[in-house]
Amino acid sequence: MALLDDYLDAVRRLLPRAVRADIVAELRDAVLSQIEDEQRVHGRAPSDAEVATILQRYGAPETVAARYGPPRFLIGPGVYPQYVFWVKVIFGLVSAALLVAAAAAAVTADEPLLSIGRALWSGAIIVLFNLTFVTLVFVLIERMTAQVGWSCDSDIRDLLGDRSAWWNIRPAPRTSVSRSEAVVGMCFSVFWLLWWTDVLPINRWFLWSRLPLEPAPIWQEVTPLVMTVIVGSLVTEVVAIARPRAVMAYEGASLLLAVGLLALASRALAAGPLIVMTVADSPAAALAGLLNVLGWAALVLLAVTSMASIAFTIFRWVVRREEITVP
Amino acid sequence: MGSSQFDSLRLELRRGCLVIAVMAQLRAEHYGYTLKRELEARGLDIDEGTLYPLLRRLESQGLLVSEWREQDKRNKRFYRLSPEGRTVLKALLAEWQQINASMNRIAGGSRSVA
Repeated sequence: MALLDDYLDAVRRLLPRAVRADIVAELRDAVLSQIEDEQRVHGRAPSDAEVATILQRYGAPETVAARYGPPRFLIGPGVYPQYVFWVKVIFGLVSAALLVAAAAAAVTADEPLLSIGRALWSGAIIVLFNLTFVTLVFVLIERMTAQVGWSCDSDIRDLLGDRSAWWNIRPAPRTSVSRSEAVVGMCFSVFWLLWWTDVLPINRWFLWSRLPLEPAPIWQEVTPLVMTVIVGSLVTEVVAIARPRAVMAYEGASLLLAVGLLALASRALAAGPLIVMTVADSPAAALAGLLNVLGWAALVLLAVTSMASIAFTIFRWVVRREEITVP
Repeated sequence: MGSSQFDSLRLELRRGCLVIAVMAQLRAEHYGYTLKRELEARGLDIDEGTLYPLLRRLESQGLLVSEWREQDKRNKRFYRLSPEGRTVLKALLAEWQQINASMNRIAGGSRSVA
């Protein structure tokens, strides 16, 4: 029965830990019952090919495991319309800014085609960065919240009026931190660390290699704060992987990290330009201006997200306290 | 109409019926495999990939209860309707009769049109 064992092992790996033994035991019994039936009919033990045919009817291990769980979304139907709205806003804003920058480059630059090309290339990277950021934010929102569903007893007019209101959003019950979420967070922190320490020279690849631009001194000044946030984030995620049930500690650390990010965004915003020219009167001035505007927009977004994260964590604690207090 | 479109509509049509059929059959205790065979013997095919998750879902909704017991030298999970499941089944069967009567009237009307 090596084939059956392999099949059940593959299914087991894909099931939630709490129910996997139970489900796999039941599946094993179901398949063995069918094998015994075949044996009675044919008067011999079924061949591997016949066992494979039985398993084929159950489906691929991924399909079988998926049937036992609720539908899983990266961004679910509850928040998807808002996600699409923000993607359109970002895409529209960046495209408009790019068109202005490209038009300015075409009129003023010595090498218009080259300048337009550079502006478009930088714009594509900025769009990609912002879309990734917005997607991550909405994935987090999806993980943290559960929209209150439709109720037959509610007035339809109230539901239409209030469905997307913030007071309809409730934190999902949480008894442990998802390990996969912590692993994703850890990967993100490692990536950020490698980027900041220039092990991955992304800035040089995309910006500083061919353009007379460099980061403003503020980035050097905030490096200790950035490193503290990155290391703090890494430690938090590692602890979450090791002790997923330490929910309050995780949320407390996440709140502190959000405060750190808010401080970082505020300080960088107060400093003025984020990117400066290394050569005066260069045609890249328009691009530098555009990058600064987009950088400030990203920092404002970071500040707003951090504040929302802080508020949401406190909200979650208040709701949990109410649930514990109210019998 | 393509066969995949028919299959999809058929699946949709069967989904609710399967719940009622499974619950009705579990007025007497069964484990998964015998339940499947009983349903097949009464003309209702249900594949394993649908049956076992459905049983777990109905149990998690409190409509079924289950216990592991040894039979034929192997542990098997036996399901039966819970008291709440009996009440819900009664209501579902009444609803089903009503839908059935309505469908007979509607389909009868559409047949004369066709």
